[in-house]
Amino acid sequence: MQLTTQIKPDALCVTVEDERIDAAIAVQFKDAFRKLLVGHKGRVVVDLEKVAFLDSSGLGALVAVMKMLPSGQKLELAGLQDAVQKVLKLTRMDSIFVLHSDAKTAFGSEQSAA
Amino acid sequence: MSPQTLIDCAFPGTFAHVSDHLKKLQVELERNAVEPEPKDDILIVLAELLNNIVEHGYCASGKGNIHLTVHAHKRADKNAVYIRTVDQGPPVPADALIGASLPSLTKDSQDMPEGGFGWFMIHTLADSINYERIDDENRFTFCVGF
Repeated sequence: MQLTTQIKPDALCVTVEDERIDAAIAVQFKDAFRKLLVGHKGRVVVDLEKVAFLDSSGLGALVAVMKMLPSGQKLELAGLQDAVQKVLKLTRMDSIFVLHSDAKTAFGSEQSAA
Repeated sequence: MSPQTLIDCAFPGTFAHVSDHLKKLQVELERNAVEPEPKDDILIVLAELLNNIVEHGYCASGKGNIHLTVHAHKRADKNAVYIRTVDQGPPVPADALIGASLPSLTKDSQDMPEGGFGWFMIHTLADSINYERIDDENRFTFCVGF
């Protein structure tokens, strides 16, 4: 599993380099974020542009990452492919994250931090 | 046209093996011109079903095999993919089979559910899923048109 992190002013943009976030890597995924988010205050945008597939364990891992943020702060997801969007919509979890069409939009001036 | 076998194999019941076989199936479905939407549905339902076998049937022990068979039937009037899984785990509890509801979403993100979506996704995306318990084996079959 591979994550690429860009540090922006007051924000982290984390690109998931894998094609799948599934049960096989969910634990690794959570551990990697736990290390990454130590001491970070500010927005966290996860770029999912390369992720073609998310299963319920992968979804659970994204929820777990959100819980690592300060209480009340939402995790932001960008660049959702169709199959990923479908899983979020089906489980109604699309409402608990902030969704952006792509990472560029997430850091555009029209978007405010959640 | 006779049915075409996309996958017919047995593999150890681990999350990593499930992931690898779903990747192979994705390639086969694309090669057989299954449209993106039914393709995603098949892969999502199978992911949940197979991970459920690994986690609950084999208690994530890595012991036990899963036999997966996927056939594509192309006919003049209808194309369909037929999927069958066989495992030797304990019988699947009835409450999972009858139907499942979504875990409730709370306002406080700290209480958000991290699991419990699997059976709901299976029942929502697979029109009908058949379960049989035969000779100490669990057999799931379902079919998706394309």
